[in-house]
Amino acid sequence: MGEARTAPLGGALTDVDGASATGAAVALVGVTAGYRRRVALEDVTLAIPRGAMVAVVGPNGSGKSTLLKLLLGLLAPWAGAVTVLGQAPRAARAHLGYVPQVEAGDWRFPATVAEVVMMGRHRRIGLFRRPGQADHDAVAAALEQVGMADRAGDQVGELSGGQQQRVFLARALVQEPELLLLDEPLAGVDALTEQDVYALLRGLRDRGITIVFTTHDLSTVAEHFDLALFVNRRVVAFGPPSDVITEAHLREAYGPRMALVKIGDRFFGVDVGHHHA
Amino acid sequence: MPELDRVLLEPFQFAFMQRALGATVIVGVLCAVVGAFVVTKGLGFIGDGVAHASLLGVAVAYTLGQNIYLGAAITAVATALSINFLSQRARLSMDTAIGVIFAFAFSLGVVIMSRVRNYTVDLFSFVFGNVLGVGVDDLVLIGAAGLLVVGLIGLLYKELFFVAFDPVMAEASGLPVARLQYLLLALLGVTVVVAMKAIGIVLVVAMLITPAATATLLTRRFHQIMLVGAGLSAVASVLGLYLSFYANVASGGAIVLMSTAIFLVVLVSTELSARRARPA
Repeated sequence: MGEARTAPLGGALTDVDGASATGAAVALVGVTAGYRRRVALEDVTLAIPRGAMVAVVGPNGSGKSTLLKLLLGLLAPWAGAVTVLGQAPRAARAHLGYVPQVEAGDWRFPATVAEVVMMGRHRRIGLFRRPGQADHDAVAAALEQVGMADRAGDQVGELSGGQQQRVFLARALVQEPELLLLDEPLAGVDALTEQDVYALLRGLRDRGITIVFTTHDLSTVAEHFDLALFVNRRVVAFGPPSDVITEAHLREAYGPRMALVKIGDRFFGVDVGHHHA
Repeated sequence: MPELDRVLLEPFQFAFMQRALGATVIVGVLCAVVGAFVVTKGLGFIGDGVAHASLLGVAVAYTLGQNIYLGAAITAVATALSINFLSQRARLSMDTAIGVIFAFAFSLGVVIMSRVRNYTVDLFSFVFGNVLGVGVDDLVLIGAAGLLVVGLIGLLYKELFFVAFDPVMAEASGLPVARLQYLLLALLGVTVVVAMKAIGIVLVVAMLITPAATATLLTRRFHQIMLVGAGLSAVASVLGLYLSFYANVASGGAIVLMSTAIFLVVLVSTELSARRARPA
């Protein structure tokens, strides 16, 4: 295990082989994983330090969601080891918060906002038992935090996409997580919600909560995140966003036609090879 | 109104009518509670398929002189579980898996029944329902099975609710999602069998759907759909029983007709009140 790893990674990885890897929020060593016969992630080694706010970027099918599934213990790696908060992923579940893609919910199912948020407390409440006052208080506080306190009794099916995403976020908050995993939480969300979500996440990060956030929106990464992880089946780059979101990495992941355009503080990947005369 | 009293009370001087009353109310409540999942998760076709498939168990048990409920229960639960297994493992759609399995089991049941020389009222009653023929042992069985199903749903309500809304997150928080889904389908199978004697194989699906569907017109809270549906279902069962007694018609059909009548009344009145609430 002692040899230096050759992947083009930022400083965050340097601890992987050392004792301090156990202090990392997330550590993967030589992880390969996939579905049936398709490899989704190959030989991934990385360590995410505690308290960091990390964006996981990459094209569709690049293995972003697979990475989250590994961390949640929903998928076992074919090879390598995954450590979450110093434990096996399943053992760490009590300390995880998870915001799945909004499509994960059956929004036609009759459930109120408060009932859905309460689902985040189920693990704490335990089997066969009913929620207590502390659970109801936690739900109310989380709804307050995401600005949905006045919608507690409403049917979730009546909410907009952005509001549904806030409900999922509130559900992750009542889990009182040390590590918060979010899968494309801003897909289809309006700009106002986006700003609110980032402000909320920064607040959590400042309280020491580690945040891992998948997105294919490169434009906001430099602005909001401490670290960026660029995956495309393998780790393309990992480090400060300015080192990771580069034209070279973009071309490696998306193909040679991509160029990086900077508008204000934001970076956009642009397909420059697709002109019709 | 002594005349009305006579009409309402007279049927229940008979022990068989008292048993029938107990059986229909238990079955009605049970079907509505399970029906809340059937209606909100679109499990109607699997309910119907499982009910039809249980004819195989009825036919086999009858031919071998075994307990018909036991035969039906084994087939119903086995069908429900194999449909779920097939749709997950063979990556067939749920509808396709249901179609293949229920058609197989039902036709095998029909083939076996057609070999039985003179199948009696007893066998006929499972297909079309005959609650007036419920014996004490039937009633005990219906009560015990009903208690089991409602009890399990009550105990696991929080978990079943979570899985119904968001299975991905449920699994991520450590719930045994696949096992809970199998359990719900097994409970559906047991419910279908319990309801067979009262409603009949062919009409069970109506009792799974109509009372719960009526409840969804009145409330959007899941536990209230269960409670309101159970109440409506019990009322329909009692009304159907009167109809069956006085008009001398099949109990299963009579109960389902009453349930549909309640559905229509609720549908029309909720539509009217919604229209009235709208600004002119």
